[in-house]
Amino acid sequence: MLYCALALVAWAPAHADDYADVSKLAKAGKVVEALNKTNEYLSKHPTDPQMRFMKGVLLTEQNKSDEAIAVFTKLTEDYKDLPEPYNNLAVLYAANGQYDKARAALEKAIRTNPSYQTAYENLGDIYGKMASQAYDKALALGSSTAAPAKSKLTMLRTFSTSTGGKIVGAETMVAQAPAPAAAPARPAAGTQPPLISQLPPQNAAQANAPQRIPALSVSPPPATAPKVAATVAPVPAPAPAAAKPLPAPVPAPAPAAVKVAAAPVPAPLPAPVKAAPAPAPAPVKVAAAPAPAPAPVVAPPPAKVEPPKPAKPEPEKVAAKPDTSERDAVIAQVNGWAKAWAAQNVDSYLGYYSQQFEPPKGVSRKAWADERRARIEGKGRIHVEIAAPEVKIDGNTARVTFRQTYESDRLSARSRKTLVMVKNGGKWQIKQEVSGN
Amino acid sequence: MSHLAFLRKWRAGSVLGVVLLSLMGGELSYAAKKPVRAQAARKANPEELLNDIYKDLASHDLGSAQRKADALVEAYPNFRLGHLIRGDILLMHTRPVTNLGAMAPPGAETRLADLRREAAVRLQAERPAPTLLPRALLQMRKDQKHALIVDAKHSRLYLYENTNDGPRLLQDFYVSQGKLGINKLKEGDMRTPVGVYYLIGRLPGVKLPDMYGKGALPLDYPNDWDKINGRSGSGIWVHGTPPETFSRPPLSTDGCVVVSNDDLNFLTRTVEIGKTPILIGDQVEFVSKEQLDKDLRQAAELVETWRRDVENRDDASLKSLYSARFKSAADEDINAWLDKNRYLPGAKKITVTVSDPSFFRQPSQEEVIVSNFTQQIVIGKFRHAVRKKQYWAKEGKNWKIVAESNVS
Repeated sequence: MLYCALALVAWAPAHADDYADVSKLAKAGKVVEALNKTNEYLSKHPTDPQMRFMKGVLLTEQNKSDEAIAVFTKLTEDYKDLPEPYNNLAVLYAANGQYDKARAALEKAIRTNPSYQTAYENLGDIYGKMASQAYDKALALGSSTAAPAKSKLTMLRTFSTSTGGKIVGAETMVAQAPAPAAAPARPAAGTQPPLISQLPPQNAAQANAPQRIPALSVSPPPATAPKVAATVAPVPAPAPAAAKPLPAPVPAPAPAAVKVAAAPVPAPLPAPVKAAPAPAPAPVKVAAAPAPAPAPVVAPPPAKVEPPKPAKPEPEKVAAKPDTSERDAVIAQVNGWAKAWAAQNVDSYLGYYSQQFEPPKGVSRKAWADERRARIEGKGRIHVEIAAPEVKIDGNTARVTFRQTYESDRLSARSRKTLVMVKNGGKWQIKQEVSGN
Repeated sequence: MSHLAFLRKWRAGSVLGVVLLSLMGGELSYAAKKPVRAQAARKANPEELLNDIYKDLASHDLGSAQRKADALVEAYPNFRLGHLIRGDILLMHTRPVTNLGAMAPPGAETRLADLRREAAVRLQAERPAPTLLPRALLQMRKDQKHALIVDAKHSRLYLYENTNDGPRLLQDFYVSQGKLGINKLKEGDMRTPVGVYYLIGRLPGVKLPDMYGKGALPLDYPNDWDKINGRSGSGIWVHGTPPETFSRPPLSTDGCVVVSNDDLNFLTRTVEIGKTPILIGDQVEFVSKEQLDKDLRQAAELVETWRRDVENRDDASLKSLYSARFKSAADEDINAWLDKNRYLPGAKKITVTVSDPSFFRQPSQEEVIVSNFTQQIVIGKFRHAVRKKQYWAKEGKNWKIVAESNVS
């Protein structure tokens, strides 16, 4: 498994030979030689993420967990949007019994790709549903099974943030960081990322080895490992159920990403359409995940409309305009909405939605409201944070785009959200709610 | 989506420790050491599956635990505890579960508490080390092929086989007992009696109401000692479960001992009516062979003293072996009882032998030894044999006969 992963890592055409050599060595069990070769290569190309990644894997093989942690940590710092290094860090931390750190790393891994979050939450709901049926049987309740409430699963409306993690990540960075210094720094870095964002699709496409990262865990190696390692290590290795039913989640067509890297601005458009199948989380066999698949087709247009290239100046401009009162009113409504949500005050929360509100998935407003109520009241706690709101007002319509940080006892997720609001009787209310860009 | 798979496993692992600890206390290591039983072709025992599931969880293998839980409820669709644990395992894929049935909906707290107790009892089930023997089975009669011991404290029934090398544990079962526990005193007190009893019948399920399941094995409660103590009530049976549930909570019966229908069928085929003893108590101990032999010698010595006194016609000494509380089944006092049992009172030279004895120790705080034996008296060419049952109870430092009857 490990070598499989290594082999897959070694895709980059320019250095194909080097990667092939290393993976061949590793495959033959010559870990030391492989490591030497890796170091040799890195002395010439110190930033090469593929080789650094490989080095981390090889160090792990050799039980040099501290060094491996250092390598992967540095990778996560340099490439915040790559899930793999986070995941490997988690494996290493878990092997050391540092579960808090492992958990944090895994949550970051998931956060690199918002569609994971949705899939994860959807899966959680499926499991929750099944669990409640099981409890009903256990306790002979028979009651709640009667109404198999329509799924609360979240449909992915757009996929902008889900596949080309790299691109979007970069974009949001720009949008959100008004500091002019940050902007110039990005483009420079922007030359490297594509390399890595390829890594997952390549893996997934090349061989049926969706296990690329957990594969690493196979290595926390021979019996010598201490007790903790012995118990922890086996965990990720088998990943049996998931392996088959979850088809490679990241088949983001490689070319698209490359294009994007070359021309960062217009890229998002083609990407969504092509990668349509990508975000489908297809959570287990269970419900055959009816929800997410078709989603992307619908949503992209509205999102596309406004994000102009350099977002930074925007807020200033808006602020400069005299009509801040409307803008303030809109933002106050958004904040109130978030507050009601976080307070799990569903009545108040629903009050922020206009009568014209268009529930997603074409469901009725009643069904949507019930679903929201179930979803919000069902949580132990909810925390919602709104950051960097951008407001665009056009007569009685406003469009607010912001970064939303959502945390519940089950999940924390960060995403971009757009609320389309209308003014009814002097009051701004939500007409449409779109996740992603 | 490999991350998800990994995450799920990882979370489950971290949380499981907690569940296990809260459930099993110190039993975890014991469970781990337990030898893996051969998975024969027979239908997997649900309790073994349960244990396997918990072992999987302890070793952070949520996937395997899930598969086993799925299989468990498929094989035993009425095993409510199985459904409960499966519910927990489903949730563990995405969130911490800190307690058995932690996320179960409100409104069924009593049932949930019952299932938790059942889980605790089942997971803590003890199987004694092979070298240890039940202290209650001092000596079985040669033709008694089996004996049952009910450990009320642990809701466990042990089935022993009588071999030439002593008792051998064949199997053990989860049982339910009276709602208010043990020490039955009177009719309707919802308690299970404590004592040494025999299975005295087989009632097929088809002739019984649904609640008895596949059948019943009645006990001879109240026995002589119970009667002397004024304990009343009747109809204490070992029986099965109604069709809608695989098992019942640990404390849920009106005094009967309830096992699953599968177990009842097995027991029904195994036991011998009128011969197989069933010892019920809350102090079931497992001791070394040496300890058991010592206890047996002591018990045999009691009966031997009694035999000598009968043979020597030493009435004063004989009478001193009987308790002041003694009463016969016909409510006679000691003098009347001894008079009645004096064979050919005029004869001077008699020989008394005791054969085919069995000795059972009541598995309770109260120390009682029940001995069955054949007493043969030979006077010249006259012979007289009678099967006797004696209840010896410890009074202070001495053992006294508190009840005695002749078994026809």
